[in-house]
Amino acid sequence: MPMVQAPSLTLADANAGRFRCEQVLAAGLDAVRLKRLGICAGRELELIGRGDPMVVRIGESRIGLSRQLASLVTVEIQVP
Amino acid sequence: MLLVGNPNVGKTSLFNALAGMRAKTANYPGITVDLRKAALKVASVDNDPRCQASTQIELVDLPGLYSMEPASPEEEVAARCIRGELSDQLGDRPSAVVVVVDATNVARTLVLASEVLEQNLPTIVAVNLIDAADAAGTKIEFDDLRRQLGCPVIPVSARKGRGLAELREAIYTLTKPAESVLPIARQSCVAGCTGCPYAARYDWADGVVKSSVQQDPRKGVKLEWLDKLLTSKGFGLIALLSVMLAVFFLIFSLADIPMSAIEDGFGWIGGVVDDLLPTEPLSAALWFPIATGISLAVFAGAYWLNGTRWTRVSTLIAVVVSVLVGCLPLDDFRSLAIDGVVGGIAGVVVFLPQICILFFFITLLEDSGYMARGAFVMERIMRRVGLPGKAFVPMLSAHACAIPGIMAARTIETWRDRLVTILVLPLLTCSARLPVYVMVAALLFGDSPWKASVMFAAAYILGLVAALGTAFVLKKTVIPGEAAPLVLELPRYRLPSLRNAWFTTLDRATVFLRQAGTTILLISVVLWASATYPKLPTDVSYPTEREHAQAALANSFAGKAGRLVEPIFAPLGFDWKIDVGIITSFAAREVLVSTLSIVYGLGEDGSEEPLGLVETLRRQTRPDGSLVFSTATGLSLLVFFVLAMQCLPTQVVTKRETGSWKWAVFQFIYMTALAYLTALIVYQSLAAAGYA
Repeated sequence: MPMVQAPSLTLADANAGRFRCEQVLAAGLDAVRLKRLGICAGRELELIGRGDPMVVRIGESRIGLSRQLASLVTVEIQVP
Repeated sequence: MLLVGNPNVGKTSLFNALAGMRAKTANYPGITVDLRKAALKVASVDNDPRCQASTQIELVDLPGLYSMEPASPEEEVAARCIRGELSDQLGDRPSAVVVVVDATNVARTLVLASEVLEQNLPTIVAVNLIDAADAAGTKIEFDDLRRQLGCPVIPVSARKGRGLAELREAIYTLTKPAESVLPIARQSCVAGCTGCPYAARYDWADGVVKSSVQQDPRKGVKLEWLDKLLTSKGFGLIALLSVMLAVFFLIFSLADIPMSAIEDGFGWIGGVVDDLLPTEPLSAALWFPIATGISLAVFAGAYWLNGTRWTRVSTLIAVVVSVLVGCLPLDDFRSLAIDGVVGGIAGVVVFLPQICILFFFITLLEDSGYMARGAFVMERIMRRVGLPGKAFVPMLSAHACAIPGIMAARTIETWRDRLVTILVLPLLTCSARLPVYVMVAALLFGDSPWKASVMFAAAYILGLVAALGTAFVLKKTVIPGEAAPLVLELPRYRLPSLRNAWFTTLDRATVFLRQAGTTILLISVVLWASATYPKLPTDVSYPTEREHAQAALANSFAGKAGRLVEPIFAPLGFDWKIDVGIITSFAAREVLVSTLSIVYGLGEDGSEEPLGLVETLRRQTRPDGSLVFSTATGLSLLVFFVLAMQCLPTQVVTKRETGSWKWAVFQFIYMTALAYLTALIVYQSLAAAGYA
């Protein structure tokens, strides 16, 4: 049986909870704007308010994030 | 010496606390961004403690930035300043940098510090908001932090004034001559870097924090429930609307007293000027140098305020105009001084209280962390028309005056979003439109306060709808694209500092006076001349002063221009007298009311006449006997003033903020066309319905 790659979860489709950021697929200025606020491969983040825009917590910062950009951030669920 | 930091770390508060009254906003040639700088007096704490010598260091407050990789024009200037690329404009390469980090969010804010440290400049890290961190139960090991960063680390609280002396001392120690540059070298990309330099930086910052910051989980106020409410879809919007309404209520109720005081004050100054001028003409040999000298002095003052340099052209203009002023007959000079200059300055300063109060509350709200939540909530609505959520603060300001609104648009990161915001801002109802609305309301609905208030609300809504609609049209046509998607820090709530709000207000007021003041002065003198010349022949006499003024205005350039454009505005229901008002209010809307009172024969001060302005206007008839100010004409005039540009100072600021006259001209053309067409539709359909 061929290996089926599980489609990776993006932040836009995630439920509230803790995640590890896998990859940031944004390009150009959007990528800079995401990464310098800490939305960056390997970082842990917590989705605390779903919606568009949504609220994400990274460390001690809270960040308002539009769904459009959130769909470019792939995450994996972090078991607490 | 540069002051650098993330937005929301209290960097400007720290600057204000260090600089106090000595700060000024400087305009560097070649940089479109205003930088605030101050000469900082630092005590030189030498080996000898009795030594009281002090030295001056120039401290520059750079725009806030998240990283050395800029995402907005302001951030780019800040980053280039730190790299020393702007030394042509700023003087020297920065001799030292103070990086401000947030004690309540050390990890995130240390990232910028690490980038700055790599520049190998003498650096001090100031850990601000230390009082908030204490209250939240966060304990920072400063010795450990110092060791890991390899530079001085000073805990400060700009709000409480804690640690400022230590910071000054550290600045002195660092900048004192013969101090060797701290050897800081850190690889920006550690082994295993996956192409994202930020990940490595964050790992480093997390490591530093882990060993030098301890958090007591039991302490600190948790405001998460509040944040949940304020960012929620329904309640968040209601909360935002209530906050905005409260701010406006405060503006309009508090500004009344200083505004009438300013009006009285300038009336008094006008009286003093009137008394000071001689009543009998002096000999030309004596009068000419006096008048020319006064005029040159006014020019010097205006140039100084505006920061205009004495180039060949500007000097020539000042001299030629002053010589012309010197040749004026005494009566004309009197009228120029009182109506043109004093009246022109009064017209600007009278809006200052509203602008100050607005900025005071906006600064408090920004400091408290609420403004970011406002932008977050508005994002849902604004993005549909192609505006970013952050545009709501400029839009709020524009309801007092478009100029501070346009200046506030600098907080919007991307150029497209900023441009769209600037272009639509003047459609929002500013306070200069209110005298016109009041006049039309009294004219049409004087007997029904209820109808008048509906008209007022409708005018505000029309402006707002026009602004949002125009943004939508621009998105589809001239400036295509979507607003940059939101990534916005929601800073921690904190108690705002009144002191900081006060200094920021002072700074904003100065910038407003400089940018708008001199332009309005110039415009009011030009308008004065166009409404005064050519003069009436002296051999005809008029029975009353009022009829003389009326005939003089009709005979002037402005009056003639009014007749000339009559056919253009006739389809809107305006007669040539209203057209004169539209021409004289071209540069400042509120002039309409005073012009109409002259052109309809009320004399200069309408209120003292037996029949008030409104009653006089109501009785005006056209040549065919019908009333001039029918419901159709009144509403057409109202709509025209809601939508038309009619404000030259705003255009000057648009030019400055967008960097070219192109957008200012575009703004003028689209707004005038929109105003004309809408007023045309309103008049023609009301006239067809029998309201003319």
